[in-house]
Amino acid sequence: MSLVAELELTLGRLELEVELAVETGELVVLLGPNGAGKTTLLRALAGLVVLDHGRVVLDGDVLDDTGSGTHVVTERRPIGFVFQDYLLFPHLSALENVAFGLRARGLARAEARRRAAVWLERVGLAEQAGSRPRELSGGQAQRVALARAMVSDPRLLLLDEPLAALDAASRTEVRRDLRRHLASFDGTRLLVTHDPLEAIALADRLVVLEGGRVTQTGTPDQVSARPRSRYVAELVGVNLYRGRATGAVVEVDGGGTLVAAGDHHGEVFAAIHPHAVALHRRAPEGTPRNVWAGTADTLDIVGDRVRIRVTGPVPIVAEVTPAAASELRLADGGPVWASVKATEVTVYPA
Amino acid sequence: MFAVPAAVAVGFLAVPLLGLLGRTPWGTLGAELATPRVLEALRLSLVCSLGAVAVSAVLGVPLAFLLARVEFPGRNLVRALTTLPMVLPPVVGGVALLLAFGRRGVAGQWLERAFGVTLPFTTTGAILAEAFVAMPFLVITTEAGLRAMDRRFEDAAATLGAGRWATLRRVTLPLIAPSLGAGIALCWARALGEFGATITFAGNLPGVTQTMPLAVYLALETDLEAAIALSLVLLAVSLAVLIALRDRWFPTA
Repeated sequence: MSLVAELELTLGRLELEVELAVETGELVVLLGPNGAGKTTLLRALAGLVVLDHGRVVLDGDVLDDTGSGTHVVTERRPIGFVFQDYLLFPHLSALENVAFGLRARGLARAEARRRAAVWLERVGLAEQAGSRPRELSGGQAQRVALARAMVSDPRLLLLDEPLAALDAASRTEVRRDLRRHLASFDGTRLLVTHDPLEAIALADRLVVLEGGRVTQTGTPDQVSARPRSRYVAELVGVNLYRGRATGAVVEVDGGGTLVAAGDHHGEVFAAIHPHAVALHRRAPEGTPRNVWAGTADTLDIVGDRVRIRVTGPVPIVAEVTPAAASELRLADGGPVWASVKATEVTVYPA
Repeated sequence: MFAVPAAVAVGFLAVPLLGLLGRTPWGTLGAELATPRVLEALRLSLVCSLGAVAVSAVLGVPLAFLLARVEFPGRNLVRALTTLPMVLPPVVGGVALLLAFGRRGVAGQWLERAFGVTLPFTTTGAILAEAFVAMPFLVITTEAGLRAMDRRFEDAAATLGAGRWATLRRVTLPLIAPSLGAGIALCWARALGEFGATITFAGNLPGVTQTMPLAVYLALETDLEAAIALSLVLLAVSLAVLIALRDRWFPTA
């Protein structure tokens, strides 16, 4: 059982062009900045937005095919959708909300309510069955929305930023619960978020969406280890450069050179972790192959480390201890020398 | 600085009402309301106003949906047309209806030839006259309610397997029920109070088209007590509608 989709659509200023495949059993998280097209993509998979070109096939059934003019309307798709702000029907109780999908699909009222009650029990909200949505807390509403989407046994579960509407305090606990409920779901699951922590915590596989296009896909570890875009590099906290490699030398786009260990050719990415960058007030002598003069610019305190942005031929962010930063008086700015060992420069094909 | 003109304004509005209440023959009110003539007018008013609401709802709600949801060329024109009866002098509305649906009118001729139906000076005619002036209230209020509604609720219903009718019945209409209810209340109050269009198009025939406002007008000449009694009933209805819709117009901020 799985989802295979190729989509092309334009909505306002957004041009979405995506190829996506999700196997059953793998929880794919779509991660990207706001405006990347994540919600639009989910809505397209749900049939709420019309494609310009493309095909969507779920478990072998064609839901969309612009070639043959097939478009299965939303209400006939075997899907469950959890919306960002839940969209629980305000005029119905929690139980009636959960039973809605069952009744809409023809189940008798009493049976629908019985099954809905079972699901509310499963998400721990049996006592809130008669409550109206406005009487529920954020975490409770989220669970009702999840139960409502899952009660009809959909084959594809789509979740649009399911934790975004929650305050930071509830988020961790609800994320744990969500993980548990999603794990027990045996259909195809696709979750969208802009929160990297959430993505890494929940994903079996990450798909990074930026500006309507997939820039990277892999396990959270793979994506963190080898960022392929500024967005991901910033999420992971790594210095990322694009350039052309000949042997051990990388000519960086925009000027500058890096020396790496190993042998590479063609278009590459080069990644340097901030903690691999050493800063000096005088030109250092030693083994590091990458040494250059720059200017200490801004300073940030991140946890128990200090990050300094250094401008120069190769702009870089260095991470040092507060003691070191204070000793070199880096807060005052001024000229510094940066050095990075060639072995700390990770190079991979672009 | 505002106090004096404001006081005059309040007086201007309050004195006539107080005058009505002051001249009411409270003692014989019950008897007045029980006379056949008055009861007839009451019954007719109820029948016609409710009929007008029914016509307005059946025609007006779909129109509200059209105006709120569909972008089509000439939409602004249609909206202006819908609002026109609210601004048009009711007697002019009556004349227009007569010219269109009268026996020699464009539509009236066809109705008589095809169905043998005549509308002027009939109860049905009174219903139509009232619907003509009252429908805009229903349409405007319902359209506003539709525009204010978050349409993503309908998306949510679709993802849950509800087709268009099911979504309309179980999600959209319940969500706009307050606006729809207010629209119906306003429409009914307006229909009940209509005079100019009714008397022009449907005439002032007791038992057929002599609704309460028309009966009041007639009774002023001959039977002041009856006129006052009927006026009081209409005043009471107006107050009742105001009270019922107070949260809409006078929200406790």
